[in-house]
Amino acid sequence: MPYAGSLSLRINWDGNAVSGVAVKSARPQASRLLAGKTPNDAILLLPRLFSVCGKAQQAAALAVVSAAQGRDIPQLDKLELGVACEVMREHLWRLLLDWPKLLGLPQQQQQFMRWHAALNVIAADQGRAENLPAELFQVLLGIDYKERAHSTTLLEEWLNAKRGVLAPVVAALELKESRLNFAGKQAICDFMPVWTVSDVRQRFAAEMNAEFSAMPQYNQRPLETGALAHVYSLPLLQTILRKHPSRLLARFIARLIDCMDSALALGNRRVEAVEAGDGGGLSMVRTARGMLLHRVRIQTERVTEYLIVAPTEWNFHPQGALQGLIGLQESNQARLRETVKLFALSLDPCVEFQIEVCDA
Amino acid sequence: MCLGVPMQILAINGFIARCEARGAMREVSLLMLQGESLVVNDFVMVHAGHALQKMTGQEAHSTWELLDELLSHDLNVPGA
Repeated sequence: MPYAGSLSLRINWDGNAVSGVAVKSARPQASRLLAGKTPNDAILLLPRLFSVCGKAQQAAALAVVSAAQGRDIPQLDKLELGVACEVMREHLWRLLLDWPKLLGLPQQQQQFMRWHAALNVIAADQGRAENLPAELFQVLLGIDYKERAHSTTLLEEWLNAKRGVLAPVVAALELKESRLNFAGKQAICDFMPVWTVSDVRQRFAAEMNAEFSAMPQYNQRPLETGALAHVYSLPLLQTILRKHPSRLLARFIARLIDCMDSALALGNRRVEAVEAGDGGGLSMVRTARGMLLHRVRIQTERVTEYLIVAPTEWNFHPQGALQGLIGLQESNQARLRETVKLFALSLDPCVEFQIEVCDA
Repeated sequence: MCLGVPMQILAINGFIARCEARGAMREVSLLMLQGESLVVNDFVMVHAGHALQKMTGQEAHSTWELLDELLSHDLNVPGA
């Protein structure tokens, strides 16, 4: 179905190594529907279209319209809670279902469903979250949650001991990544700095248009956004990246950290907005996949311009992180496809993707 | 961007439903909707093979109107 959009990943392969990667996106620009609508209609419309990241899109829309109108974001705490629960659900979905499936391990469906239901209750402000961090640490990592301990300290202990339901997933991923051979220097994509919404406004105000929204870049270069970009400078991640520079394990662990940190501090700020002059506003939400931007211009109570820059546009930029596959030495096409899937999953596109391997 | 597509359930087998939208058939996981009472002819919002929320026929219809409008925009953009 063309409505949902898709990504096409075309891999040039000579039977021994990857010589090129072409990423093509065929995804509808939903923000085009918003021009001409009233700001309230725009806010109501977005969650109907975006299902998997509906809370983040709704929060971004409310925040950007509020900023453009010079108002505070209404019910910000409730929005933050909804976004945090959505972030955790997305991370747990990848960690418990998608990664194990790709690595040939059992999926943890029942556990995922229990937390999915609990997060729905917490997001609706109808349940308590006090026990969630301890339960996540116990089940996922098999370790007791220590009050006030930083999650990365606990994770460092865990990576050595490897217990809990994620232990076999990490072991398989470590093994898989250690077998990747790039026969030389692997192309790397710069990480997106930890920007505030004001930083983003300052850097991108002049270039925010439909072209930027489809293929965003900074200083003519794409950036990787997401959990790893947020925490890669931590000593634990630096150690992992030195050992596993392809970033598969690092992205997995970064997601785990983001999930744990979200559970430990549900109210942590993920939604920001700033007024952008002349009826304009800019909002930023730190989602499970990375930085989501909304920009609006409102004149005489109508939306005259609306732009959405989704994290998938950064992470699946044609010259972006997937270029890191170039140089991969692999003589087995089935194994190559599996590796490409792992790279794509580690960057987590929000749409389905197809892989085509072509003779170079 | 992660758009969902409303689909109608034609058959349910455990956690898998056979769903239809605009003549297209898909096997859809109902894992995310465990606990919801779902029956044949219900509408669900589907994303990447997973049903994410139950919806009424009216909600499905109005979402389809939006998606049709969106697709017509995209088809009218030169080079899109």
